[in-house]
Amino acid sequence: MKVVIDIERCMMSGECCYNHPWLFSFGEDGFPEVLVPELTTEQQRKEARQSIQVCPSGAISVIE
Amino acid sequence: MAGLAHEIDPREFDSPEFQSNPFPLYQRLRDHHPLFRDRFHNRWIISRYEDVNAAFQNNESFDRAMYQPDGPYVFGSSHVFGPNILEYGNSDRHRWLRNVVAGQFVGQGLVSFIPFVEQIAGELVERCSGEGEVELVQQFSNQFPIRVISNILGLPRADEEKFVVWYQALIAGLGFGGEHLARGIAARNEMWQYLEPLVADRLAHPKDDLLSKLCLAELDGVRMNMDEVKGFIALLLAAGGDTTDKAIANMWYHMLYTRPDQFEDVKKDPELWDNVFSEMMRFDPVVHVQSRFTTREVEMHGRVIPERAQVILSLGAGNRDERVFKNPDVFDIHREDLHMGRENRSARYRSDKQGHLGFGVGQHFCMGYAMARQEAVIACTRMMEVMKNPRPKFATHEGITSPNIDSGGFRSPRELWIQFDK
Ligand code: HEM
Ligand code: SF4
Repeated sequence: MKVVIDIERCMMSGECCYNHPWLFSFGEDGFPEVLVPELTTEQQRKEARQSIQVCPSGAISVIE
Repeated sequence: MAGLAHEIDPREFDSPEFQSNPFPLYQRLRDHHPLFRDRFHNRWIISRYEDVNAAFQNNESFDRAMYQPDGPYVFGSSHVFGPNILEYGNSDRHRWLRNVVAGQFVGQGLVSFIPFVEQIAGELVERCSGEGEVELVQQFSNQFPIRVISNILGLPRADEEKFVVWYQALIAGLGFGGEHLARGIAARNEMWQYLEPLVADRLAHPKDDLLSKLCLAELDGVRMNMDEVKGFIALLLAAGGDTTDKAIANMWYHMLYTRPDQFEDVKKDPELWDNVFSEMMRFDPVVHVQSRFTTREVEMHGRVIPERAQVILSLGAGNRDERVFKNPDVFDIHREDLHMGRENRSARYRSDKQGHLGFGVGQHFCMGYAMARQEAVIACTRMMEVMKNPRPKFATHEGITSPNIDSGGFRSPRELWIQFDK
């Protein structure tokens, strides 16, 4: 399972990076980057789902 | 070299002149004392846009925790809210608490509440539209956001009036000491007594409301205790209510008195209320200062702030920084250098425009930012639909004031009379 960001939709709100710093961080360009390539633990999957909730632009999704 | 004329006597911060018009002093701070050591109040003040922005984002050096770094709140302290998220500093616990509610106020959670916000705005506008004139502060804005929040929490609609009263007492207790503080704490205790059975009820029979979510949220299998839940509610009522109501009054003030010419543009195109909101949050936002404590020595402008020192991030001053905004002292809803849409917690935008600092930035960035904007814009738009040809009742106005800016006294007009055609 992976968490992915649609950079076209992302509005640089920063919510993902601040709420889930273990999953996301800001890149140099101000867009978020995914830190964990593969969601292996239940905790990671839970946080990934929460990050979808806090994203104001609907840019985050989880794929199998 | 800063000449003597630029020296700042810290007592100026307590003067009535500063409370009604802090901007000249802000300018002296930015130009001559970008890092000001205020020995009288034992604090440091930073005031340039870039510095304030950077400090908000620098979690390693600045923390908001008031008592112990990361430490638990000591219950029974004199803070009117009781234990709440404001006091958890930069800890994981803060992040967790934020996550419990954050989804409600941004994204999809927010969208689902819009019809409700519309309904409450409609009811209130209806109520005060009969007379052909309205005192906006008491009759509308004081009433509106508090009702919205208490409904999001899932508190009984029949008790809304109670919350309006408690919340006004809480707020008065925030900015002042003595009698006001005593009354604020009394209101808090009353409210808490009222809340206890409701919390117990939600624990036993959870519903689909925010109160239930607060009661049931778990971190590593642990829930918030009763006091934390109640503290959170007090915070939401106050932080979400008082600020937004003042924002609405400020928007109307600027349209009626500061830029009646631009008000004509808004009347033609109500979507411009969004711009009014953004520019108000830059020009003279409700909240002007946030406080932080250094977690280590911090070097800035060639000096060193010691560890554990209080630092005032003067966002009201940063918003008027001519290094960032052209003609910063002009209120202009068509400003090209300000990002006009929804704010970002990262303070970065896809356009190269700059954001205002009125909600802070970063870790503690206002949680209700999207909510506040929606509420304010919906309220103003509804009012204009019903109150035709709105105009000031009095030709002059004392302006926006702050009862006590150092204690976080929020800025707004004391009264705002509007006349309109029925
Ligand atoms: C125009 C209206 C508002 C203004 C001017 C405002 C201003 C602010 C500011 C400047 C902060 C940053 C505090 C800091 O950096 O230490 C903040 C935080 C906060 N605001 Fe607002 N606010 C507004 C509306 C709201 C609303 C509607 C809500 C609730 C729904 C809300 C809830 C909060 C909370 C819970 C925090 C603390 C967040 C944290 O520590 O992570 N605010 N607000
Ligand atoms: S929360 Fe969404 S919009 Fe915000 S930075 Fe992350 S992906 Fe972008």
